[in-house]
Amino acid sequence: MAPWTKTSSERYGVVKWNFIAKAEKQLSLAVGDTVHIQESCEGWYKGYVIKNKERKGAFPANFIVLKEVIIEKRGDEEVITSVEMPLVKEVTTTLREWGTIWKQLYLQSSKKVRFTQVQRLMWDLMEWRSQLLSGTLPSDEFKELKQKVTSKIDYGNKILELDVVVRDADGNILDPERASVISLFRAHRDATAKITERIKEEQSNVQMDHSGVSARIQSSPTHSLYVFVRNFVCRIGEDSELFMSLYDPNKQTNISENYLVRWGDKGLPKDIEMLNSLKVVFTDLGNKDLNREKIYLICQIVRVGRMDLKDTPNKKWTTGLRRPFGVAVMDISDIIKGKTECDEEKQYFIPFHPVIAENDFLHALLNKVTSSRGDSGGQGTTHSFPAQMTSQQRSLR
Amino acid sequence: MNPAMDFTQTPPGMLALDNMLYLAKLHQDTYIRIVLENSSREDKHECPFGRCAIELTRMLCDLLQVGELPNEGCNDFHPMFFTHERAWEEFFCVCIQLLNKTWKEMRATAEDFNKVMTVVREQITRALAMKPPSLEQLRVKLRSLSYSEILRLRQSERMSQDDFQSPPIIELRERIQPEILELIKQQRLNRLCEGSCFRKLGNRRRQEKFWFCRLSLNHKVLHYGDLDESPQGEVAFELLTDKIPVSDMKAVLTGKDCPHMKEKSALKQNKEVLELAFSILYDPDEALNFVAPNKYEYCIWTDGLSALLGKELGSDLTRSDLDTLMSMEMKLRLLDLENITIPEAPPPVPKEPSTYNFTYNYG
Repeated sequence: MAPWTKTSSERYGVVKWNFIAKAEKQLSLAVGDTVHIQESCEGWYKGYVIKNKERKGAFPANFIVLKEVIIEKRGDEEVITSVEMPLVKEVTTTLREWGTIWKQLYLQSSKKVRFTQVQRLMWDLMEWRSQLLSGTLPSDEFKELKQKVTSKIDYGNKILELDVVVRDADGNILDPERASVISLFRAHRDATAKITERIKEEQSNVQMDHSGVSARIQSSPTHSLYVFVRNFVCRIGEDSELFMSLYDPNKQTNISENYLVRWGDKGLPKDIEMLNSLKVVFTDLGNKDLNREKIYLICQIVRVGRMDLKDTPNKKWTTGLRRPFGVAVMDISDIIKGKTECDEEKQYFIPFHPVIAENDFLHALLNKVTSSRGDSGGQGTTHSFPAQMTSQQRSLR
Repeated sequence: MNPAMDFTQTPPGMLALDNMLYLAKLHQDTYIRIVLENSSREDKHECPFGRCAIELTRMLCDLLQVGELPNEGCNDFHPMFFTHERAWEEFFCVCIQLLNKTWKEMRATAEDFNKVMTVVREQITRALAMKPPSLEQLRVKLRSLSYSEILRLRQSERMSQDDFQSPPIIELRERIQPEILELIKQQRLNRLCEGSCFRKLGNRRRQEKFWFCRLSLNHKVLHYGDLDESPQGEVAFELLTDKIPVSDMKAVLTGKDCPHMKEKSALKQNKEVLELAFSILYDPDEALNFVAPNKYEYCIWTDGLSALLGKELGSDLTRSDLDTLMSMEMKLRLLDLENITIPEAPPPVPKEPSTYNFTYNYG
């Protein structure tokens, strides 16, 4: 008659077959349940199902698949933790938590959208959890997957209004018993900011999914804007130079270099061959530029000729002087952010604002124009924006 | 670190060196390309040629059972090995290129070596199973089995594995099905308590008439009444003038059996209307006729009314809801059984222990 003895290493396992208790001191088990084992005797274990700690009883040992554990002693108590990856454990508990909430969402027919959303989140997490447990991922992919998983968990917790999970740099949950209060507070603050940012990203991803542009924007760090100058309609009567660049009105600075087009006095570009090929690509636009509130395409027109237009052309006057003539301004924030489709054929007419007096600074005029929206009287330049290109930054090794 | 020592372990022994030599002599371009690609990478993602060649040779020997006695029972016939004089070495060349490509696709580092070898083994096994007639065909097949393809195949196998047919799973399903059905019933009744708007039949060109029906919150009375226009938001119980006590309800009829569908008027024989029609028969001998606005509402209402009558919920929507809820519930319960195979037969229950005196009596 062997007595019941406390188990040392056999502490935690999963049930692999349903067991129905036949005696009062036996414990019924369902397949998939996780159990804590306390004692063993003659091929039977005694313990409890983790979901229901109160009810303890005996069950056959061969109905259990044992799992490895780490046993820590904290004072008088023993804390049993499974050897599984902490992230996998987190996913498991999160999924179960969301599971109960998901069923509540089902009961309220007004929450149908949320219900399907959470369902999809849960499926994704389950698939990723399987991948993590399969142990077949190379280390790079593994890290990426961990990132994706923590991001998904945070997003789900946020939309279900559950507690924020605070993580450290590696994505592991911070242990409140091991970190100081102040560092915990700071971590909380950073975590909330990061999560709100990710939520915005996810939401914009979801909203603009159909255009596919947002996905491109997220994936590549540099962008380019291709501008095709079709024509410049302006009665100057002299040669002029057009400087085109991208401009940020809030900061009042150019964010790109100038593209120079020399225009002759007859209304055609100085270099006739360039007539139908005045194209420029503004490259190296980063995400910072894309996120600016407003971006304008400005064209500064400089007249090259005599000092004062009012004077009649006369050999006496010096020529070759460069005088400000006017500006043309167009708001391209929508095009840059991908909200409007870029069409090869679509041509934009940019209205033109002349300088009032000859001693005006183009810069001041620019500020005036960008802050107001006036009519120009039919003079201006015509452009089209055939394409917005993005470049893949990932190295092809 | 004597390189000669690398080849002392058999298998594969010097066979690996023979293969490498063949590659270097007869497929010089390939060899040079592989070596150069991997020799100057700074980021630890280089594929170690020597080690890979030895491991690959060992794997191929294992797969093709090289070095073992002929197995009379095995009927695998690979025509491609008869298409070339040095078929074995050519096979090695194809596979080493595959390994290099897969290594790059997996972005593997030195510690992922075994994982890459597992994937390559799977690729070769699957390709061989297709019995390509020539080495060129083999190359084509291997190219289609890229790493992402293998991942996809693994994922779909995982998904299909979830349709467990093992007995304990089926038992568990049956055990939790009533809970889930109860949940569905609850949802239907909640929806009935919110109420729905229905259209009156007939009135060909005249103004559309609406009426609204709603279950009381204690599930005991069905309130209904006419409305002038389609409601926006909640309709208060006070606006609904008529009511039927649930205890008076006798049966729910659908489709052709409905009294309002039995009338001969041409309009009412419309097939769509027939599919959305249902009626409540209540004491003493009256019927309340409905035509649901869409299939979803039809299912909800027929289910809800069946629930009130104590009958089973039988609509298509119930079936699909049950499926969704059950599969999620089962998946959640079986999360901890990942990578564990359930036995085919129940383990034998051991003899009861001689005593139930546990060491600590928790009462």
